Amino acid sequence: MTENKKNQESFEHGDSQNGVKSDVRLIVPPVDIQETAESYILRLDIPGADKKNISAQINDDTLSVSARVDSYFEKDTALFYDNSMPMEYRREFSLANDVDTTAVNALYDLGVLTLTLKKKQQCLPKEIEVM
Amino acid sequence: MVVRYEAVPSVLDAVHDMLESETFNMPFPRVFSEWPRFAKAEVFPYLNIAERKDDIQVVMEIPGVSKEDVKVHYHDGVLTISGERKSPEVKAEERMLRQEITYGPFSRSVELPAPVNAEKISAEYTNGILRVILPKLEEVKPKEIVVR
Repeated sequence: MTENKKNQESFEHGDSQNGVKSDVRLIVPPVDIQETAESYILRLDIPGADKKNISAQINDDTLSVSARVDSYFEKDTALFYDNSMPMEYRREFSLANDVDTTAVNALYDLGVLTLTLKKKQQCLPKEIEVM
Repeated sequence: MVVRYEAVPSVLDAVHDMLESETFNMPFPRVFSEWPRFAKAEVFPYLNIAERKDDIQVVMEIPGVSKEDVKVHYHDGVLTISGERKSPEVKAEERMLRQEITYGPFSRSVELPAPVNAEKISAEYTNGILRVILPKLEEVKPKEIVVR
């Protein structure tokens, strides 16, 4: 389970490459990755999202997470500390060989997206009975 | 004699302290939180403040914090939001492959840009976003004067 750095960079520098000022703020959400005996648990901070605006996809061995969050204030509000732009959260991960891509569970609660990726059955440690 | 070279960290400390002060507040800490030194620091939630015609709104990003663990306090023109982000359970046989999210107590105070009606302050918390709405006092609201 590693971060897909190559794509990451293109996200972060997306607007400067095009030479066009973007109307969204791109954010790379911080992540915690916890490995348990049977699974990998990813937690990503995506505060303020609506569940239906969050997408998590697996293509081959890449997991992509993205979410769109509306700006916190109306456009013409006088702001002290803030930008009034909508936010786009994006992050990609290269999956380890032992991830079962058919068994992924996603939960969004308190602004945190938790993805649970099960390990393949054949990759789990086995207890061998001594005869 | 061996002298520990601390010039760089102390400069970073000073810069961080300066940025952390309410004068500079945002958005610098986002950059500095990447430093290992600061990653260990307390949770530093991002704060957004907007002044509107009738009220001041303060929006704080506190994902992963339960409503019961957030305190909003107002006194004499200063709004203080404090709380704690509790770390998830990691059992002995489990391990963290990556840890970018910071857990622990947090507290931020901010001086409001206009006098507000303390009796009518309200706060709501949804999906990791705390929004505090502070209605302005009548006398500071902009008034339209009719020309006769």
